[in-house]
Amino acid sequence: MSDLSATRTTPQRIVGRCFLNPVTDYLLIGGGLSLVVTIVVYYRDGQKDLVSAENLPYFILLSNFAHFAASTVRLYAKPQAYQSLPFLTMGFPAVMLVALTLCIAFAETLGPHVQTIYLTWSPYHYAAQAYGLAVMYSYRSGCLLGSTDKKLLWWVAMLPFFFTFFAGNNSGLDWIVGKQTLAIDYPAAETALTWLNEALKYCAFVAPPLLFIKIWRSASGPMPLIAMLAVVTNAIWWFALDALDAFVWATVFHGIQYMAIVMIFHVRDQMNRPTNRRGRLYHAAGFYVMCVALGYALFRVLPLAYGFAGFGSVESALLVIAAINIHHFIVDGYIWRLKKTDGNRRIVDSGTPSVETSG
Amino acid sequence: MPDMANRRESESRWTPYRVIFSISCAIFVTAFFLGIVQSLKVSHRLPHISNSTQQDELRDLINTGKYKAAIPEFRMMAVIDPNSAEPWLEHLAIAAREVGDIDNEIFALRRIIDAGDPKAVDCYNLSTAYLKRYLRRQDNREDLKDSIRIGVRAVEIDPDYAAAHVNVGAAWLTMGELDKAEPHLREALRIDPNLKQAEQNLQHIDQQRMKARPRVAP
Repeated sequence: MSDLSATRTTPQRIVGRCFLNPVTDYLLIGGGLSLVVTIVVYYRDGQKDLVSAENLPYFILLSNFAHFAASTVRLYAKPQAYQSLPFLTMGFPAVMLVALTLCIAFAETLGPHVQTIYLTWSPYHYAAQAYGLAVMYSYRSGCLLGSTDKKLLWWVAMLPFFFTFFAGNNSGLDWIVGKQTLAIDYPAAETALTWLNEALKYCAFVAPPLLFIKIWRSASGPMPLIAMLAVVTNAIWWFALDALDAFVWATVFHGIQYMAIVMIFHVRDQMNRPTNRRGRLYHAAGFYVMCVALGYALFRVLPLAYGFAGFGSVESALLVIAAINIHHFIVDGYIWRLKKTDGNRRIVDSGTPSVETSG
Repeated sequence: MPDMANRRESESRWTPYRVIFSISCAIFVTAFFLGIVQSLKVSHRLPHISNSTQQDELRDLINTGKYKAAIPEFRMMAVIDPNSAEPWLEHLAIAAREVGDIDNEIFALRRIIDAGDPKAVDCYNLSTAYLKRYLRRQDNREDLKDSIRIGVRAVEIDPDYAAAHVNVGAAWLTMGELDKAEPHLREALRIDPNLKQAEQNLQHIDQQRMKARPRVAP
């Protein structure tokens, strides 16, 4: 048992050690707010859209675009990032620019694969984020997950990804073998796949509570509910909504979740600077404004630059989006790795091993 | 002193990265301004935050009859992002049909049908496109086979689809399979007795059979 867990009562440990306060953490970072919206979207199926077509772009700019830009803003604002990640900070942008330009130039050949990589990777990235948040909240709440429990948590968090990998159109397995080919050449495999997808749906809802009980009964004691909530909400986005709604709402809520946690880390870093003379609100607002501005430049202006250079507007727009996503997934895989000297270790730590937050 | 030396060493290690990064930043900033210039040039305003401008432009191309300009855009969308392109495939098929671009019409209709749950009219249109392509080029008998296969699918979905029966009959007739063509053409006439194409094709079958009949000396 950790020092922290020894000093906290069971109800406190179940609520978990929150960053801001339980309501904000559970609603934004845990994804509680998304459950409310998912229920509304589910029951309004076929009716008027939840957000009007006129307002949706603003909504997407302020959540999705800002979130994709946030990993880049965080990378360059992170103390010592240039020294500890020289290739990622200074070399990788050039690699991405060259790769993107090649993909747009040979869009008919390379474009579909880039698009598919992005569509296949997205659900994995969301699942990895849910897993990372669950581990982080567990550690900071004094629940020191054993290695077996940690592995089990990873598998449970990945269930929505496995489902979309096997069931998705034009991504995952469909990209690798082609579902139509499978149906014609191996009908038994297709039937097995249908059964597997059904089983994954049930597992995604049955497995988290079972794991919660198992961990509670283990030496580590109960994990905070917010850790399970992050895993369950990710499953609900993919299983309760149809594919299109899932992609839209999972991205929106993943974005909100991400923005909240990344801003907490950024503000702590800035406040810890010896030269800092500003308040938390200033750093939080400044970070968010930077994210929105960069999101606008990347998603809305960069495709037009390719148009200026003579490339087609459709391939420019689609492949810039795919490239930004892939860049975000890769950068995210590095910026959350906290070294021993990282000031933010105190946020996740209670005398525990390192945490990997995202993929 | 060793700290200073280490710092110098690590800084020299990063110099190539710094150069590459400076170039990347310069390219990105230039691209940003060129993007603004492009937006002002094309739509006379700053880049809009929604991508509806692009979709509106595509819709305008169709509505104003600029089909030739619309086809490559729609095709690219269908190739790169098939999921999002589904609502646009019908536009691509219509635009391609209007300008007689049979290859792209076939491309769009095949994608519509492969997406699942096809409508009889889509199958009929694809069957017609395959038949047209064969009649125009006469270089690939697979087109005739595809025309029959898809035409049969249309009549399976809607057995009273007279025009689809005519297509299947016409394709068999072109292949010289008179016995296979006849039932489809008769079915088409039963459904719609005024269908001239079916009638003409049946007359053609009769003529072919007359020619094939062995001549008997008087």
